[in-house]
Amino acid sequence: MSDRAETTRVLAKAAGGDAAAVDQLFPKIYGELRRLAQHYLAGAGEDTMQATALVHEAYLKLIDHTASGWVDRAHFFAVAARAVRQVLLDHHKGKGRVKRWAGQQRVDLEQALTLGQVRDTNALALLQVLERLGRAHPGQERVVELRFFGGLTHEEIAEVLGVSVRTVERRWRFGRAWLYRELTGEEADG
Amino acid sequence: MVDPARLERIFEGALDLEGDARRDYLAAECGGDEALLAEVRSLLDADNAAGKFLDPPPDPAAPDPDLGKTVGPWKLERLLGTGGMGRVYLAERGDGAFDKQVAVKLIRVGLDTADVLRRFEQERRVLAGLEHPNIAMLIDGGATGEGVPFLVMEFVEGTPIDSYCDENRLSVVERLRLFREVCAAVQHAHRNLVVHRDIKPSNILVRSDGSVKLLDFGIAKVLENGAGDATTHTGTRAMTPRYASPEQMLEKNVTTATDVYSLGVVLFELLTGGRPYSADDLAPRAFERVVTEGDPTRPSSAVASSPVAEREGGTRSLAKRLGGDLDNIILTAIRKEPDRRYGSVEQFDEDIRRHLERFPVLARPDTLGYRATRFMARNRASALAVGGVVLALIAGTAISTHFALREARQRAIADARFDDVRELATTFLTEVDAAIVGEGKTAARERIVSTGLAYLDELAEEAGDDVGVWRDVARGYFRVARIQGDPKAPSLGDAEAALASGAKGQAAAARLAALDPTGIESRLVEVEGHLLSGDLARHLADVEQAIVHFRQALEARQRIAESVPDSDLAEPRLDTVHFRLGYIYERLTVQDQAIEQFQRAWDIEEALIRDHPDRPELFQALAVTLNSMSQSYRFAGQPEKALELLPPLRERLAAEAERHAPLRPVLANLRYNLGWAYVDQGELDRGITEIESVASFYRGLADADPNDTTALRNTAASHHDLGDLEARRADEQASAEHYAELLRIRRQILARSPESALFRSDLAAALSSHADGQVALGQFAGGLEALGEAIEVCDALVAELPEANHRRNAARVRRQAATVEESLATESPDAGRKRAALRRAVSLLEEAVAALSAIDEPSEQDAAFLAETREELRASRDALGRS
Repeated sequence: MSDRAETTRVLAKAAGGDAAAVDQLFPKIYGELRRLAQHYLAGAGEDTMQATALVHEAYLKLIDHTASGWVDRAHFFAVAARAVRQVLLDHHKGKGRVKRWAGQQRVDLEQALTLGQVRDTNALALLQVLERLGRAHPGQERVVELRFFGGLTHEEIAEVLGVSVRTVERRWRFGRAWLYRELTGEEADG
Repeated sequence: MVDPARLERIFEGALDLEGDARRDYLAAECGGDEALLAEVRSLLDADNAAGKFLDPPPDPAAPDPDLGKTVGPWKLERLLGTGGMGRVYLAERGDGAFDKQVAVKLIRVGLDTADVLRRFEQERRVLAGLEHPNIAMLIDGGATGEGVPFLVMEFVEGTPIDSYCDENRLSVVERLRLFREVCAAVQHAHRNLVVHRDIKPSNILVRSDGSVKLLDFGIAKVLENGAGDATTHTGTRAMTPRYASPEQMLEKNVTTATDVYSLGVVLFELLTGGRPYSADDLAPRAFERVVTEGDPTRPSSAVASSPVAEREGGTRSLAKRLGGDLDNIILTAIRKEPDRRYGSVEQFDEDIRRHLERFPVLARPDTLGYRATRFMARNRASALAVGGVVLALIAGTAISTHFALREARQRAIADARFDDVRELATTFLTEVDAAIVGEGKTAARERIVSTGLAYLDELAEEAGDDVGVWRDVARGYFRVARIQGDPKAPSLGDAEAALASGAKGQAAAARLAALDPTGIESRLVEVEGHLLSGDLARHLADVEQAIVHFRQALEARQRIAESVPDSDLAEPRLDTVHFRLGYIYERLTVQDQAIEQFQRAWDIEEALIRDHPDRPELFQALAVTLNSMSQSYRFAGQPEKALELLPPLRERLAAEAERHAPLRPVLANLRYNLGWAYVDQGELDRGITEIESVASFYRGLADADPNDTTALRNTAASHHDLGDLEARRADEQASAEHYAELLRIRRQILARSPESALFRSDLAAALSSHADGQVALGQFAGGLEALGEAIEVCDALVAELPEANHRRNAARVRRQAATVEESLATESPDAGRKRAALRRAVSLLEEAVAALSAIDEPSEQDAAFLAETREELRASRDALGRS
């Protein structure tokens, strides 16, 4: 069995709720994401790369998409969302520094994974605040992670978490408000 | 410290409220907890201020790279919308050749371009015939320079039907009239054998002149990922869950009934402002479950405050308006089982017409029996692994297990004289799925029988005076009896048990007749009872008795046909009864009687086809009848009549099959029989032409779906026959090529299930044929090599399953190899080589004798085969001694 077919099979198991399959999938995706990030940094002129685009690229590389449906796809992106977050976090802990490629300017992984609209926000700050959100409100943290790092739609998040789309929307509103408040330093007004 | 869960709950509750309502809500929820109140407020403020915080970079802000590009001759002008499958653009011809605006759909990356284009090509011919003023045409399709597939459709300016109805505040009657126009367009498509598959309000536009236009007809089929199969649920389905039918969610066959369902949901929403299943609080998987297993809300109970309610004088008044007829009509359209919905969009439309004109409608509320069955389906499916199967079998309820689908399909075929078709078709060319041949199928059948009987006994006790339940019970016993009585099913074929189940069914039928002496359903059950008794008698070889039962069935069915108008399509149909009689006469070799009965069945089927041209199953029945009739002519010593009958049928069937795929295997089967009929008549060339067409048909199926093992097996079987026939025609080269192809395919099949004993012995047979082909070409070495492998395969089978037939095969291939060695010896000029070949032949024959002697209880044929082999061994030893 080709590696891709194998990964696709593991993904189908993960989508079916097999936790061991998720564990098996994670290092694969993580490795591919790191590899991809480096690859893009090596390419001329490509010094920024959206996290979600990276995840999509990893998906196309790792998964035989003709043999997997949208449910599987959602589960892939769900695992990948966590992996992207981990790639970033490792970077900040000094473990995940991207090696310098011959003749290329070294670019921070953080820069490579430019974070959508938060471009101005310090990525490290976001990661830290997100962890804090998770301590009190893990459900909300997970929705933010899936949407922000994985680029999943609300329907896909609903599928992955096994909750309703409405629940996803509410959790998203809560998580976003909470993070926004923390990051903008807005004080409670009462 | 604020309780996180409480904080979340209050925050979420406040999201739906504004202004004073929100303030009051917060005050009430927080009680006097100032810290909590402050926390919620700060989050709500942040929610207000967050705007697009954390949103991915908005696509529209970025310039669309596709805008302004040309796709074929079309220049993309403006983005019309973004859907699940891609983006739709307004486009104009860039070359100015026509002043025409079109909609171009670019298919999202992720689908295989070649695959989409192939399916597009398949569909295009069909779709091109779909001209109707209310259907937007598919104009073109292809791939862009970058390999992105695209489709070009007529551009329609209009408003989705739901918004149109609400904006114009249409009344219930106005909505129904508009909806009938939609039905007319869908009917037109169905007559052209095109199913929409994704009917939803956004695909039904109303133009400013008030006319409707349906978009995307047949597109869903082009976009679906054909590789999906029912077990893994990996196929990409182009559908919208809110309007998707249970069979789509279960990835079962999509038919015209699927469109009936989606239309039903659309009408439900148009008339109530509500939805049949509330989906807001459900995860997609859970929604799928509700749609496939739950009961829909009655339209009259789902009425929401909406423009239609306002127009009808409030929700209560609207609910009253919908109760009765419209409830029944809509619920009939959205039944879970496709065959329990309206038979066609035409009937659905007709019932709406009846309602509008104040005639009684045909839709009826579900019977208690049906609901009881469904209730049990829900509650038992989880408890009993095979509960679903049993119910699928008995009540026609499809349950979402792979196996249930199979059984349900088999049941459907069984009703269409599956038994008879199977016996008539040649062993190889049946549609029996190889995957369930063998012990798996038997075990499953046994479970169906035991669970089914337990279930039916229980249901009979609770049936009381409910006509619907008794009908289900009687039919259920009949079906179980059929399974038990099937002599072709190993380890079943239990005649006594079948008779006992049949008797229970007859008792239920008698009860039914007493409760409901004139009801057409009860009388049809009676016919079914006679047919069952006849079939069981036939299995028991009691032909006289079988004829008596079939005659009774005929009489009863004829009475129904005479007294109940429009009962011609009700099962069991009259033509099927004639067919059974014809079939049994054919077995009795009373061919003139058989031909008379087949002729009657034929006449009825022709009349039915005239009245119902949209039912391919009638054509299938006709083909089976004529096939059997030609058989009778051949046995009656009138093969020329058979050859008169089949070619015109082939032409008709070919024309129908062109439009309707399910008829294609029937056509292949017919051509196969016709081919052999030609061969019997000595017309070898014509025979070969027919069977070649069969081979290429199945080859096409196998290429289209690499998972279709049945198609592959049928391709192999056709090559086997062709190899034999070419040998007869003395074209050894062609013969050898067919055998080589046969071998290649058999290897391919085995590679998928390397453990399968059936496929392994198929491989051995193919190796043996291939050896024949090689030897005929003078390639002794190639022949012996193939036979060496065949011997290995057979020996391995004997080691695992020491059954008589494997031992026979092990002996057979050795004898064949010995013959080749002897030929080699004859042809070899070198004395040493000659002796070596003869020695090998002797030892092969010794082994063959050993294999045959090891058979536990040898039959007469085994004994004869053994004697023959010994004789040959002696001759070989003599030849060796002489050399």
